[in-house]
Amino acid sequence: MMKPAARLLLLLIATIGLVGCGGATSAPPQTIDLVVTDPPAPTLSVEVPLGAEVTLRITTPTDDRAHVHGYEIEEDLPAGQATDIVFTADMSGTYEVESHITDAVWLNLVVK
Amino acid sequence: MILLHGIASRHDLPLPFWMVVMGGAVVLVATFWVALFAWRSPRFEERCGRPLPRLTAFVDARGVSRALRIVVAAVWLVALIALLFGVDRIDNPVFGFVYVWLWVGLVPASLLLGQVYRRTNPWRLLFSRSGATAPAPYESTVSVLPAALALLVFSYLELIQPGGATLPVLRVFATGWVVWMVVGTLATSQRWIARADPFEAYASTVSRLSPWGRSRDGVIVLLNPLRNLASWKAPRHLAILCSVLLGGTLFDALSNTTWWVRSTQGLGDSAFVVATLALACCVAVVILLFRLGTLPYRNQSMDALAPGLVPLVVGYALSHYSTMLYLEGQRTLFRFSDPVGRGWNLFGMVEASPGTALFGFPMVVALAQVALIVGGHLLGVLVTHDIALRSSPGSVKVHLPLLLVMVAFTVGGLLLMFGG
Repeated sequence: MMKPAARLLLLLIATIGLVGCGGATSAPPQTIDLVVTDPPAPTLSVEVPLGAEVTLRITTPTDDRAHVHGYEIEEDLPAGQATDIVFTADMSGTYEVESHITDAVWLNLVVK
Repeated sequence: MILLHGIASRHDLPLPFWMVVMGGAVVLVATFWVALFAWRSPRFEERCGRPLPRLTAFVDARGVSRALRIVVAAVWLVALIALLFGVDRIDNPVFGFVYVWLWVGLVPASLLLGQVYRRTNPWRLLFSRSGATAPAPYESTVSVLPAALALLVFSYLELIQPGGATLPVLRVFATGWVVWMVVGTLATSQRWIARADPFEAYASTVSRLSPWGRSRDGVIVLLNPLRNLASWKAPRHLAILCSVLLGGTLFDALSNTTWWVRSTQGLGDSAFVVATLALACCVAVVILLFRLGTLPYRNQSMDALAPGLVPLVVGYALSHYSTMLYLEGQRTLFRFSDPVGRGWNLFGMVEASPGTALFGFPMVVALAQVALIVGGHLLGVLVTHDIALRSSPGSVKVHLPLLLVMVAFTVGGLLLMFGG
């Protein structure tokens, strides 16, 4: 991992889309934009309400594979391309979202 | 690097602050209520209860005993095969078997069923020719220091050892355990198993908080769990064994706090040295505080008072690990369908997905966690009270330091769970 020391910059914008409240729960859908840098920035925490439909939009500098712990979702991430992982956050708790290639923990998803 | 808790794929939410405050208040009030107003002469000194001869005949029947041992041994055998020939992925069932079923599961199993671990311990089956499957002695005060050391090593493996959930590392530690058990048993006698097997010693300790005991003539008795524990002629070094368990869980909670993760993130490779020191410190602090608290009792050793720590250990373990047992316990079961990662589906459960309904109710989970810690504390205080009365009846002053130490453990535990 001795790539040119790009500035540790992990852009993380949690945009709360207020696109209606359809579904069993009242929690609005959530979109989390995650731009991974090389080397990755320190792990950040993002809170989402229990029951919300979560869209994790991840962009990585190299081909990678994301792993949402607990929910056990794995997704291939082609380099430089925003990839959406969509799931319902129906389990409370803290879950790590990490790279299966570098083992870096990108973010802690806090569902409460 | 970040120290990964290999098997745990999720962490519980931190406890809401108001719940921590309420829990702490209940702990304080109840502790001093016990000290001031509870019974004044020892009540639970004798181990007696309702004898159940028919249940004893059933449980001790050759067929029942043998069937139980064979079923459990078969599970161990599959786990061993997975350890030796499986693939080095987290879906290898051996990880869940060791860290969830065995380590966490033995607590509720011993609490509900008593000495079931001893009955099904694979080492006892292996050494049955040396008399290892004989009934447990009515009382034994032989030191459990070897088991305490082994438990410390296991805590290190579970919480600190990088790659603790990878096959090469687990194989090394499993080999160490095999050598420890085989050499010790051959060099001494089958009594080594009770003294030195970390899992059996832990399970036997917890089983003293179950409603099941044996009378002097071996008949199963149903009795008040408080009496069961308070009447225990504790083995030597039980205080150290309990401190290791308590210190290990405290360290686990500590290492999950945001504060800890932030402070160790930049340490690189030295993070695991710091973590090892912190684990040792947690255990040392627990031993030291308990030593200080028990100093005023002239006629009671630290070990004689140690049964009072057992409910704290149990409450804390259940509070901290129950959700993991619930989720990863199910996953481990499914993974047993393909133990060596060859695409088998032995029990048709490979595709199953675990029930997660519990996690839809975070408030229920949090309340249960606080209730377990506070409840464990209360039982611990009652047991301590009864034991302490035997040497110094009447005087509240003598009990004060030990009560304060127990309050410190519990409130400390609550704060750590809050700090998540």
